[in-house]
Amino acid sequence: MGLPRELEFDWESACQDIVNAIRWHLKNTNANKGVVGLSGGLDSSVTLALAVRALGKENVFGLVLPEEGVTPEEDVEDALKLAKALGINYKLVEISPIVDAVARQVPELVEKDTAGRLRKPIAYGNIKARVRMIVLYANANLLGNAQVLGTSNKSELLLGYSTKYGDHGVDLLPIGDLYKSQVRHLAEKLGLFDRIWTKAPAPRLLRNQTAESEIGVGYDVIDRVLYYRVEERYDEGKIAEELKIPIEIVNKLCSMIVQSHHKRKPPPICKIGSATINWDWRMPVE
Amino acid sequence: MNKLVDSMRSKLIVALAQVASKMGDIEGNLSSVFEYVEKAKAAKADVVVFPELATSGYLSQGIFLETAEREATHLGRLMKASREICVVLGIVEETDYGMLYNSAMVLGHGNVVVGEAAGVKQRCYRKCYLPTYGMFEEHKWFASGQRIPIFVLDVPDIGRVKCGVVICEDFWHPLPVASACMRGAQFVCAISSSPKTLRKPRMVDSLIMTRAIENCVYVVFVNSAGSEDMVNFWGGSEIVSAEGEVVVAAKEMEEDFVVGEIDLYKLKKLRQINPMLRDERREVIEDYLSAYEEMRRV
Repeated sequence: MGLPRELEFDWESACQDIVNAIRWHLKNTNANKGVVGLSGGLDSSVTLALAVRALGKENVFGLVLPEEGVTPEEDVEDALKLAKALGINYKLVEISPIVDAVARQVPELVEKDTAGRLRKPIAYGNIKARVRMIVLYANANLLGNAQVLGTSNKSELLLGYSTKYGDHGVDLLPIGDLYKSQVRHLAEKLGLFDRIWTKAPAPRLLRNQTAESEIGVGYDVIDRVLYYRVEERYDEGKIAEELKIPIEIVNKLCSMIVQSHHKRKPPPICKIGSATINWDWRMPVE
Repeated sequence: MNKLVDSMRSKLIVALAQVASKMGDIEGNLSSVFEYVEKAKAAKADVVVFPELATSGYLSQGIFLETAEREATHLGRLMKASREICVVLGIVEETDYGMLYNSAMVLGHGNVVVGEAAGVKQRCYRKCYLPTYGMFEEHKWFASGQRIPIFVLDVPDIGRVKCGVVICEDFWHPLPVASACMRGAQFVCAISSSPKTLRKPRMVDSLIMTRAIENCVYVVFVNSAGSEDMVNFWGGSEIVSAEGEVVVAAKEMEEDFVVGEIDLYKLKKLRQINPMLRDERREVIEDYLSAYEEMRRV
């Protein structure tokens, strides 16, 4: 599958950068193991493959976290198949009982309208991402010196197509500077099996949910719009002209970037003193 | 080599110490510097060059405030180590006024080699162009240098060799290397901590080659390697001749040490054949300054 010209990149060099970055981060946080949540999808599969390259199979722990009735069987099969193929230790934890327990205590989450649709589907969907985060960290803590490797890509990060403290609640984001199409390209080049890199991207928080249908256009378009807006700083009109697409699509994507700025920043701190953390007091991870 | 041959030596041996500094570990980074200085001496190098901010690491943010003080306790040892070799080292320099500079110190003959520009003496080269765009925030921590001093090295069996120094963003602009050359630089150390991006290595390679050719000068590019805060520094240090040819190149991405030669005789001949400096014109330089002022007036 070819990449659009704008998104072409030296995938081997990018892999090496990511491997180096994972090693650096773990070394500098006194960790020696990585935990990755495996959905059977593209992002987590690529993240896992790179984590194994960086840390060795014995130092990577995979967690398959399906939800009954929502996660397709083929996703679980793909996740397990990859974990086995890469020779890592892994565990399967069904999250439905935890999600149900939360819903029992906060019943408004699962209230339905007269047509039988959830009244608050986003709030309910977010619970699942956050439950997964809890299970990932619980296992990282149990392993000892382990860090949770997030699986978000640049497209999702820019669109805010993720859950705060859910899939965002991680220690590092190895593929966070690669657009979705580039991750797909990487999966192909890394030799991950076809079904992983040809699968339609889907967060699987709700039944039959796919990212492209929610946003309304495919990642082939999304990524090029994001590229021109973020890397080249083109304005909306120029992007529509360049890509020969309706301005409405460009406007929608660009407004998603703006509306999700808050998701990409640490919680803001009200400045009172003279050495406010992250404004004045800026320290690297040593 | 016997004395007669030594006295005819025209090739300067330069070692490129492409270190992977660790943020905030001033003592550990200096230990590595001392190791590479010894390695360069063993390789019979006349000069050893380290990357930008080699003592502190590039992304050290708040740690820069305490770097110079911690470096100072090692200065005596650095001078001692430079008795038989010249050392060009990226440091954090602090003045009595508490100002910090992203600087390069040149040491030789057991002393700090003082640079000079238009009669002004300067203990270190101070980076002039401090990037603040994109991921860079150098102006938050450092003051800008104002001039491009020349450092005269006294090299055994060769004599006086003039060296210019520029730091990273400086060589993205055409003037600093040109100024060093007009002050007589026979080679320019272009030290950097260049973070890797998809396009960066190719762009920097082109810039280094351009600076070498347009000024008819050897450029010694020494870049950091390794990672800091999930940012990778791509290494790829090299010596590029005045004709734009790569004399020697270090590996990309990882710590490395390579040694190459600068042929001073060949440089002199090339400057006769390719008189870029001779052909420089005052009118054009003055017009450049006018153009700058016009741009700023808008």
